[in-house]
Order: sequence, then structure tokens, then C-alpha cells
Amino acid sequence: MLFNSNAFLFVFLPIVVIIYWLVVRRSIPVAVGFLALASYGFLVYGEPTYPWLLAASILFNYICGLGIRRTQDPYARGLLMLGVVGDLLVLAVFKYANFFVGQVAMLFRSPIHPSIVLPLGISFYTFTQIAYLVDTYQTRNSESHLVRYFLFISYFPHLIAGPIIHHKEMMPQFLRPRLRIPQLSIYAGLCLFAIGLAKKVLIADPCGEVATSIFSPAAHGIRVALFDAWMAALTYTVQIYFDFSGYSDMALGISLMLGIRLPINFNSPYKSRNIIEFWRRWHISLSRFLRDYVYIALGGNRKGRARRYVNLLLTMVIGGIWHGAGWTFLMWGTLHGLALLLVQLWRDQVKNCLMVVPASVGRAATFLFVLFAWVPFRSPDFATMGNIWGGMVGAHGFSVPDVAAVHGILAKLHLPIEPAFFTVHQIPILLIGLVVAWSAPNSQQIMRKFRVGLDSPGYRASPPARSGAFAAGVNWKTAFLAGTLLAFAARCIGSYSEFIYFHF
Amino acid sequence: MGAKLRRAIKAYLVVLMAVFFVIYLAPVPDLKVATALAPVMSPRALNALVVAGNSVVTDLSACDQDRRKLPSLLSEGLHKKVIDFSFPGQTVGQGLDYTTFALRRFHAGAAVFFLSPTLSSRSIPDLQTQMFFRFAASPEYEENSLQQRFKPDAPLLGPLTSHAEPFTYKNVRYPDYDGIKDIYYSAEKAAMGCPETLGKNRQFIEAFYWYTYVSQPVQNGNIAGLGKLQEISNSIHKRVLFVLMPVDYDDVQSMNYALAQTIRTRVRSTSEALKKENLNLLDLTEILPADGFSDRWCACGHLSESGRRTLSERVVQALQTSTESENHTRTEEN
Repeated sequence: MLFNSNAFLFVFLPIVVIIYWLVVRRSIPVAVGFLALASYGFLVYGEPTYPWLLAASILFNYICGLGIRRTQDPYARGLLMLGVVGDLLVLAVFKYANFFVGQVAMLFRSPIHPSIVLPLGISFYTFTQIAYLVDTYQTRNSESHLVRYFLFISYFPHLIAGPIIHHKEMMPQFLRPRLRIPQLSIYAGLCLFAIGLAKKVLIADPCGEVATSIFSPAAHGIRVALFDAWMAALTYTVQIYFDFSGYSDMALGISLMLGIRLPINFNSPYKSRNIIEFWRRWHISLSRFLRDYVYIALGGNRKGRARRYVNLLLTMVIGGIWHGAGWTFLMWGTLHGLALLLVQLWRDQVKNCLMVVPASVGRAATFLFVLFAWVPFRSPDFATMGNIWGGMVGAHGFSVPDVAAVHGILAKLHLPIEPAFFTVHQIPILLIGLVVAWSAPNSQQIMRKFRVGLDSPGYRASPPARSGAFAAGVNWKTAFLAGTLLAFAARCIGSYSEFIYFHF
Repeated sequence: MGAKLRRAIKAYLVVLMAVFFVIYLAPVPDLKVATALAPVMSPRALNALVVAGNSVVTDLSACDQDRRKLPSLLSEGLHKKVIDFSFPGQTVGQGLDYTTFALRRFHAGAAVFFLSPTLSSRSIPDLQTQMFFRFAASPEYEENSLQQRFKPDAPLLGPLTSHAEPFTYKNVRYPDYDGIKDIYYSAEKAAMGCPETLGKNRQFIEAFYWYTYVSQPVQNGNIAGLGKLQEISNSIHKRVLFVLMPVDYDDVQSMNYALAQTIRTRVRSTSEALKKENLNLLDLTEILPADGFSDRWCACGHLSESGRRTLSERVVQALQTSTESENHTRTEEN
């Protein structure tokens, strides 16, 4: 079930919120059980292929967690290894087997084409459970109640595309229902949900249409000219940000309606002044996971400067592969790893020479790098990536949108210019997306009075919004604007439009 | 938190929900429809030509070097502003909504309505858009009737566009449209290079031709609706040209001669039924050879760049001829 579907918005969500608030005041265990059941129903509705996989994975990790808590090393360590390896094995089979078998088959020219369907949310719930096992091993404190553990993993607002959460962040909140006021939670949650839905259907989806209309012929070998290539890269850059941050806002908003705060996942990443800052603002819960459970596990900065750089690069490569089984994801991760490495080197070596990059130059350079790096992320293969990159540097000539008057002038000048894949009507939504991403306050700044999400230690917290005009509050203006935004966004829910991160 | 504040929050929550429902249910088109209709409301649209149709109008093959779409070619041929209402999957009903609105309420001077030869489509826009078109343009065709919403498979509020259902052809069971896209289209697309071939799974392509052109009943309600649009346009002295789009008979014939003949017979009967409604009809179903088509895997009549050029020349010719004859008639009347 998608957050941006009428079935979710008008049936599932209201029923779950109403029943939860009716039940939670009488019995917390019943409310927890109800939410766990609803969450599983939410998954089964959208995952008809492997509905058992989540249940099996939860049971396996729950048993491992109990074992780790009740035993001492070396048994506890062994159980931790068993749990982590088991999780990674499941991920390898369901997410990476197609790719690896396909590559081997291609090498030996074998006709085998495995087609294992990717289970919904597998990357997210696997990482959440790995984090849980490691935390349990370090603190010897695990969830003893199976239903509560089931809810922790399957909780529907975060199940399919995150944020990746820690047990200690979420579960204690379920045990403090008296502190909550349902009206305020629902009001704030609806406001945030409206912002997220609007980001998705009003900005991400229209930009996605443009990006697809250019990446698709590029994948067929049609050479993409200058403006087309830039349009493809820019629209995808806008699409992926508004799609994923829109999803995260909706997830936080839905959870807030149930009185539970989830960790903040985005903090205006396109305003970053360098790539290190970008990763402290983009998909924060994944960055945090990679830092805590990959980078630090590899040795972090404890084993010398050279090893630190290698660890940094390796962490980002793993982050790239986590997104998908493909060479282009590996390329994307490697590019980000190299960029992080370069910035770190710059900080270590050059900063002493008092060379300070102006903030605006840093922002522009970071945005340009991220933009170029999204091209392999979106491309199905290296040929497509090369095609778009080639177009961006002008190697494939020029194209202009299909405007008869412009083409008439160009024809008279005998200029070899082709019509572009996009139309002029598609440019304004891109510009709106860019302006919002660069200069508007973000969701948690707008909603800062409600403290809609949890901050992650070590990651940049949202500064106060620059202008009070955008600030939401408990007042008529906010109620009216949120209702209007929600209505406009809900009216645009027409066709089936998945979130990009559902595929990871 | 005090009881007073709790009451205030409750009031704001009620306001939020009330605003949501009032705006959500208001009889206004959704943003996509509103954006599509906006150009025709501009004074610059005076005497513009509006174009309605499905993906056959909008589609460009991945192999096309000339990426001008039909509306652009028409604009160049007629030296006239063209407002393009077409979009993939547009049904006859949606085309009627847009065209009637543009001709009846605004400045558009003429319309070209590109029709799939089967007219087999069913769609109900969401309730708000449906009410908008009823108030603003009253296109009278069967699918627009509010009674459709009370049928068992129709949604009370949301839109309904029926896609290909599962079907069986020559003892092979094929899935619904989503399944076809996932299983067959994606395999064909992956195997398709440039220049295009006739496709990989010819058995499926033949089956889908049969499904598209033969298995579905012709929607008589749509024929009456098109007749009504012709009546409306005659009454306000605006021209509508209905164009029956080409069928890739060469391709079908190469796979199954009998199937091609069956399609021919059905298309002819549709054409005759449309003529009986006194439509200004241009039947182009047989004008294109095989290289005029692209995307054979979808068996849906998508056009290649040469196909688009030929088609646009014929439409431009038809529009110019009818303009000349109208001018001639007016001169004689004077």
C-alpha cells in the first residue's frame, strides 16, 4: 500500500489512527498488538509475493537477540555473527542474487536469467535488525516481548523506506501514552503529512516524468544533447530529493498522528557547503547506520590516517551497493566515497594554509557534484550514464524544446539543432523544485513548534526557519493552509506512482 | 495542557479537515487537467487548433531522430497555434471532455480528434472533474453520466480507467495490463535496438493485436458522444475533424492473414457507424506501410517519424481542403 494512494489516505490511515487512540488509553499491550497487526496487513497488501519473509526474519532476529542478551562471550558474539550473517544472506539472495547470477551467466554466455522479485522494504528492515543485534550485543539489553519487537520492525510508517530506527529511540515512546494529546498529535501529523504528500505529487512526480522521458531514450542509445542532458540530470536531482524527503515527511507525519516520533531523515541537503555536510543532511538514518555499523566497525579513524581514508571509501561503496545490485550503484557509491575522501584530505592538509572556500562556492560545487553523481544512480548501465554525461558537456550537440517559433528562427539560421525531449511547460516545476530545495525552510523548520522528529546525535539539527511566515502553529492560518495543501495534493493522487526508495 | 487549549486544538483540527473536504470535493478539475486546459483559456488561443488523442499522438520512438510530435507537425503545416490535449491512455470520453470544453467555452477555432479504430475505452474521471466538465461544457456521452458511478465496478469518488483484462488467445493465457507491461513489454523493450525490429515474441504480439482490435466490443455510447460533439461544433460554426488512426496491417498480415482480415472488417464497420453520425471523418486506417509504425511490441499503432510525417500531411491537407470549400461555400452564399 502506498502512502500516496486513496486506499491508504481515506481508509487505512483513518481507521488505524482512530482505533489506536481508542485502544491505547485502555490497554497499551492491546494497542501495540493492534498496530503490529495493522502494520503486517499494510505489508501484505503491497507484498503478495513474500508476505512470510518479514515474519520469518523478525522471528530469527528476535531469537538471536534473546540469545545474545542471555549469554556471555564467546556465545553471545557467535550469536551476533549468526544473526548478522543470516540477515546479510537473506539480503544477498533476495536483492543481489539476480545480479550476480546474471553477471556469471553473461560471462559464460549462459541463457540463465534468474528473476527473484525484490521483497518490499527488505534493505530497511534488514539494516534495522542488524543495528538492533549490534546494540543488543553492546548493551545486553534486548526486547523481550515478541509482539513489541514485531511492531518495532514492522511499524508501517517506516517499514518500506525508512527511516532506519534504533529500538531505544522508538519503543520507549509506546510505553508513555499518558503524555500524549491525540488532537495535537493528529493536527501536527496531518500538517507534516500534507507537506510530504505535496512534495511527492506536486513536485517529484512531474519532475520524474521529465527525467524518465529523457533517460529512457538515452538507455536505448539515442544520443542526448546538451539541454536534454541537463534537464534529465536536474529533474532527477529534484525528483529524488522531493520523492524521498516527501516520503520521510509522510512517515514522520503518520507516526506523529499515532503519537510516536521518528528520527529526522532530511535536513535541506542541497544547501550543503561540502559533501561531508551533504551526508549529514541526506538520508540521515542511513548515514548514521553506515557510520556506526560499517565505518566504525572497519576501524574508523582509530588506525591511522591512510586507513581512515580507505575506510571512508569502503563505507560509501557499501552504501552504494546497499541501494541496488548494479555497477552504476557501485559507481555512485565510489564517486561519493572519493569526494568525501578529497574533502577530508582538504581539511587535513590544506585548511592549515588558511584557504577558505566561500560558502556560496562550496554550495554550488557540492550541488554540481551531487547532480553529476545522480546520473549513474539513475542510469541502468554505463552506456546510458556516458550518454547523459556526454550530453551535459556538450559532446552530442544542442537541442531546444519543441516550440515552433524557436525552431523557425533556428531553421532560418541553418543551425543543426534538434527538438528536445522536454517541453517549455515542464521547466517551471523544475525551477520551483530548485528554489524550494535551495532557499525555502525545510519541513522540520516549518513545523519546529511541534518538534516533529528526533534528532540524531552528531548530525546537524535544523536551525530555526529564517522567516516566521512559513512557521506552522496551532492557529487558523496553519489549519487553513494545511487543509488546502492536503486537498490539492490528494486531488493529484491519480495514477499509481511508487516511491523511488521502494526499490532499494 | 489545559482544557481550553485542548478545545482550541480540536477546533483547528476540525477546520483543517473541513477545509480539506470542501476543497477536495469542489467541482474543479485536478491540477493535471487544469494545467492541460489552461492554454486554451488564453486570448492567444484565438482560432487555435486543439488536438485530442492517446499515445499514438504523443509517443516518440526511442529510435526517432526527428522528434517532432504530430501537434508540432500540424502547427508547422497549418502555420497555426496548436494546443495539444493528447496524453497516453486518453480515452474517447476524456477527449470529448477536453474538446467540447475548448470549442464550446473558449477561443479554439477547430479540433482534430485522433481516434483509435476500435473506440474501445472506458473511463470515468474523478467525481470533481466529472462535475466540472458537466457544468462547464456538458459533453453528452454515456461515460460521463453520473449513473455510471452507481454501477458495481465503478468508484464513488475516484477515477476509473479500464485497462486490458487477462485474456486467452490460441490457448495461451495472458495477464492483465500491468502483468503484460511487466512480463512482455519489458522483455520486448530490452531486446529492442535501433533501428527497430518486428519484435521478439511474435506470438504475444499477434495475441495483443487480436485483443486490441478484435476482442473488445465497439463502444456505441462513444459513437453517439462523438456525434454529439459534431452537432455542437456545427451549431457554433467550429470545425472538428475526426481521424481514424492507421493500423499496421502489414505486420498483422505477416503473422496471421485471417486476423488482418477480421480487423479490417471490424474497422470498416466502425468507420461506417461513425459516418452514419455525420461525422467529418478522415479514415487513415490503411495509409501506412509497415515502416510507418514503431513499438510493434505494444500492438497499439504507435507511429515512426515517417508515419507521423505522412499522417500530418494528410490531416493538414484535409483541414486546408475543408477550409477552402467552406470559404467557397461562403462566397457562393454571399
